[in-house]
Amino acid sequence: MAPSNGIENVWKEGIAREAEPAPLTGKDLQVIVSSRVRKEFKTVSEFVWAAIVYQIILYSFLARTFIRHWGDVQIMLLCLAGGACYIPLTVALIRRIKTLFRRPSEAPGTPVPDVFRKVEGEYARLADFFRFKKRMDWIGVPVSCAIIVLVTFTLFVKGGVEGNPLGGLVVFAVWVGLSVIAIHAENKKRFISPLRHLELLLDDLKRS
Amino acid sequence: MRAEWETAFLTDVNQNIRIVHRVCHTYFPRDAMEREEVFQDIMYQLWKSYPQFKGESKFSTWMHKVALNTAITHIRRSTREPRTEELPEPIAHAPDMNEHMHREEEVRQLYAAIDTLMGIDKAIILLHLEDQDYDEIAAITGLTKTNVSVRLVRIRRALKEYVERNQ
Repeated sequence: MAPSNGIENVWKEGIAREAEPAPLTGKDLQVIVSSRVRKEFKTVSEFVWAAIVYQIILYSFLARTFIRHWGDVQIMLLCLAGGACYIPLTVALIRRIKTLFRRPSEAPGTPVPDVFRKVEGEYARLADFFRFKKRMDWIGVPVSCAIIVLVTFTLFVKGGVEGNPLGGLVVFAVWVGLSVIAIHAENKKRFISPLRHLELLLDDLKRS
Repeated sequence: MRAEWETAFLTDVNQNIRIVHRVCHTYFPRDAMEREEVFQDIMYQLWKSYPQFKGESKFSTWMHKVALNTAITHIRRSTREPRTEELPEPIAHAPDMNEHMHREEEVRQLYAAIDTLMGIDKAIILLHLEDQDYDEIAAITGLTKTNVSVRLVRIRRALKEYVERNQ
C-alpha cells in the first residue's frame, strides 16, 4: 500500500472489485433456518447427554438392582438411599442447563445487545454454569462412585465393603480417578477453551 | 402475515447482505468452511432477532451489531487451538507490474494487515471502513466514543506499520 494511498481508498477499491453477492432467497432462508434449528437442538442434546450420562448410568444401575433384588430389604434400601442422595443433584443440574440455554436476548422485545454486553453476558452465563458444574462434580462424583461401589460389593463380594475395606477403597479410588479424567476432558472442550476465548475478548474490550 | 414478514426480512437483508459477507471475510479470511458456517449463523440470528428490530437505529447498524456479535463470539467447533501461524509473505512488487495487479496487491495487503488485529479491533476498523461514524461504532461495540477514537488511531498505526514492514 503506497503511503499516499489511505486505507479507506484501498478498502473502497477492494469493494469496487467485489463480485455482487448472491441474494438470499426464501428457499435459502428455509434451508438455513431448519439446519440451524437442528444444529441448536443437537448442541443442546449433546450437552445434556454429556452432562447427565453419568447419572443415567447410575439411575439405570440402581433401578435394575432394585427390581432384580426385590424383597432383599438391605439392597432395596441401599438403592433407594442412593437415588435419594442423587435426585437433588440431577434436579439442580437440569435447572441450570435450562438457564444456560435460555438466551436472555431472545425474550420478546429485548433489544440486540452491543458487542461488549454480548461477550460479557455469554462469559457470565458460561462461567456461572461451569462454577456450578465443578461444585456439582466435587459432590456428585464421590457420592455416585460410593453408591456404585457399595451396592456392587454388597451384591457380588462376600462380606461386602465391611469385609473388604481395602478392596472397596481401591475400586472407589479407581472409579473416581477415571471419572475425573473423563470430566476434565469434557470440561476442557465445553468450558475451559470457550471461556478462555471469551476471556481474551473481554480483556481486549476492557483495555482502554 | 408470515409471508409478508419474510418478504420484508429478505428485502432488508438483501439490501445489506454485503455487511454479512464482509464480517465473515474479516473474521475468517482463510477458512471457507468456517466462513460459511458463520454466515449461516448470522443469517439465523438475524432472522430470529428481526421481530425485535424497531427501526430505532439504521437497519445497517442493527445488522452490523448482530453480525459482529455472532462472529466475535463464534467458538470454533473443532478442538484445534486458535490459529497462531504467520501470515503468508506478500508478493514483492515487480517494477513492471501493471496498475491492476498493484492495486490488487494493495487490497490483499490491507486484508492481511486487518487479519493480524484482535477481535474487537477488527470490528472497529471494519465499521470505520464501512463509513459508520464514531457514535455508531460506539453503539455497536459498547465502547465509549473516546475509546473508539483512541483505538482507531492505534489500529491505523498498526496497519500502516504492518504494510510498511511487508512492502
